[in-house]
Amino acid sequence: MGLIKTTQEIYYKGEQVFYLNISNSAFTLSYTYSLSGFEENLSATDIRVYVESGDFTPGETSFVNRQIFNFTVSNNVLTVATGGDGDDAFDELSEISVDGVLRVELINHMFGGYRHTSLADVVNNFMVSYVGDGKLINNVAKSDVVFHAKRGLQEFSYDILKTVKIQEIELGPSLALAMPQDYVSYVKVCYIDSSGIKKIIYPTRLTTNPTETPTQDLNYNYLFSSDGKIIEGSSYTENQWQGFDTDNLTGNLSTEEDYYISRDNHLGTDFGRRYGIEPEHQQINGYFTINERTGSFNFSSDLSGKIIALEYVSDGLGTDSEMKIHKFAEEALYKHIAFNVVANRRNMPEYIVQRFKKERRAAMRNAKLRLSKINLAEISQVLRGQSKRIKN
Amino acid sequence: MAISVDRVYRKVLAILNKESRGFLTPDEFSKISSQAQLDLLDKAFHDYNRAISRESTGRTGVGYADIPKKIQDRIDPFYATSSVTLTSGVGTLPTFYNIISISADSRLTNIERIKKSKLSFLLSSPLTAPSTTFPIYYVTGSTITVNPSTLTSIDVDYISVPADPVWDSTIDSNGALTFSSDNAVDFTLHPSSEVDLVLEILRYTGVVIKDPSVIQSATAETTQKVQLENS
Repeated sequence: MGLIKTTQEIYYKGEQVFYLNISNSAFTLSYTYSLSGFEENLSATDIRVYVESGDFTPGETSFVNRQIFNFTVSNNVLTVATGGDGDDAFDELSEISVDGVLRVELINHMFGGYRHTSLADVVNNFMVSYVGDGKLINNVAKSDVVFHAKRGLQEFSYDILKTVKIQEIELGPSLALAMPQDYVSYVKVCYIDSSGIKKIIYPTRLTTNPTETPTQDLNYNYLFSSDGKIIEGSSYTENQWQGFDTDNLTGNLSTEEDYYISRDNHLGTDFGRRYGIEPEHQQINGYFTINERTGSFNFSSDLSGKIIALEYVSDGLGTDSEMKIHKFAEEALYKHIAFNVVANRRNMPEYIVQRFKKERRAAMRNAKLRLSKINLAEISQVLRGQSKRIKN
Repeated sequence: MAISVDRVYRKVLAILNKESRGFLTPDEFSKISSQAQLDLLDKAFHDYNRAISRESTGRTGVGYADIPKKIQDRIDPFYATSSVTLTSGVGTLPTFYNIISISADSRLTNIERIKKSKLSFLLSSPLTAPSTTFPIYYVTGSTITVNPSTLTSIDVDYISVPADPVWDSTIDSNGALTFSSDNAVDFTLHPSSEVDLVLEILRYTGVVIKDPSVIQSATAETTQKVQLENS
C-alpha cells in the first residue's frame, strides 16, 4: 500500500467536496460524512464547513459559501448536527430542489508534508521493526523510545536538519526584540532594505548587556526589597548604547557632523583620515547584542524602524506539528534511538554497542550530506564568479 | 476448536477404571478440570517464553518445527478484546488473565503500561510527559487509569480467564448419568493441549481418590513429555 493516503484534490485544494444529490425532487441528505480522505486525524477545530448550491435566483436566500458551525468530528467522521445551522441549510436546499455541495476545508493547509515522517510514526516503526522476540532489543519501554526519539530530534535540529526559522519583525523605538518562543540559537540577523534585500547585522563586542543591575543608594550600597531580594534597576550600559549614534563608528557622517565630531569627541583623531579603524566595524548595517537578562535582542539605534529578519534554530519539539523528521534523516533517527537503547542496557556486549554507534554515525553523516543539498549545477553557477575581476 | 468436556471425562474415567481405581464424580471432575485448565494456560506462557529463548539461540525451525507458533496457538483461544469507557481517565477492566495491549483511536494509538514507581518522573519530564499521541496507563486491581484523561474510550486486548468446564448430565430411569450438551461447558484450551489436560486432571484425580500411583504415573508421563520437548 502506498504511503499517500489523501486524494490529489484534497492535497492541492485543501478541501473535500461532498455532493448533495437530488432524487425525485427530494434531497438525499446525510448528516455524517467520512473525512478519511484527509491524511491526518482531524478535530472540529481543524476544519471549516460550507454549504453551497447552484441556486442564484435574485431575491432568494443565497447558498454561496454559507459557512455552518453546528457540527462535530469524531474518529474522522463529520456529523452535521440536526436542528443546527447545517440542518437549516439542508432544509432550504431541499425546498428549492437544486443540487448542492457540502465543502470541508482545512484551516491550516500546507503542501510538502510528504517530505516528513511524524515522530509518532518513527516511534511506532521502531517498536515494530527493532523491538521484539529474536531481535537485539527484545523489550523496551515505549516511553524510553519516545525520550530517545525526542532527544534525537533535538540534536538533529542543531546539526543536521535545516529547520531554520525566520521571524520578520519591525524594530520599535525600544531597539529590542524578544527572543522567539521556541528560540534556541540564532543563525543570522538581518534587516530588510526597501528592495527586499537582506543586509546582515553583526553582533558587536563594543558593548555588553549586564545580567544583573542592582540599584544602589547614594552611598553605593545595594537596595533590597522587603523580602530580601536585590532591587534590579535599568542598565546604564544599555541606555548609553541605545543613545549612541553608530555613525560615529562607521564614519557615515555628513560634512557638518564630521566637522563637529572631529573637534568635540573621541573620534577627533580620525578627522580626515581613519588609519586606525577596525575592519569589523567598517559596515553600516548596524549591530546587535543578545540580552540574556531580558531574553531579547538589542539593536543599535540606527536600526530603529527597520524590518528585522531573525533566522534562528529551534529544537523541533515546540509544537506537536513540528515533531517530525525529514525522510532523508529518518534512518539516522532509528539508528540514534537503537544506539541509545542498546548503550544503556545492562550486559549488552560492547561490540554490539560499538556496532550501533558506528551505524548511527554513518547514518547521521549520510543524512547531513543529503540535507546539505549539494547541487553540482548550483555550485558551478556560484563558482563562475571566481574569474570575475574585482572592481573598485 | 475447544476440547470436548465429555471426551476428556470419558478418557479420564477410562484410564482410572482400567484397574478399578475408583470413580470420579462429574462434580469433582468439573472442579479439577477448572484447576487443570488454569494450570495449563499459565504453563503455556512459560513454555512460550522458553521457546522464544530457544529460538533466539537458533534452536527452532520453520513450519512444523516452529514451536513458538505452536505454543502461541495454545494461548490464542483465550484471546479477547473489549472496549472500556473512561470517566476522567478512569475505567473498569474486564476480568483478565493477562493484558496484551491497550490502545485508543480505533487501535491507532498504543497506550503504554508504565511502572507506578516511574509515574511522577514521567509526568514531570517534558520529554516523556504523556500526551494524546503517547498516552500511558497503569492498573490497580480491576481499575485502569489512563493519562491524559481526555481519552474517553480504549480498546483492551487481553487473555481472558476461561469459563469453568462443566460436564452436564441427565439422569435416566435407571439412575444412569447421560451427558447433556445443553448446559455443558467445553474446555477453552486448544486441541493440542488435550494430552496435557488429561494428564493434569489425572494428577489431581490421584489426590482426590487418594491413589499415589495415579499421581506418580501421571507426573512421570508429564515429566517425560517436558524432557522430550526440551531436548
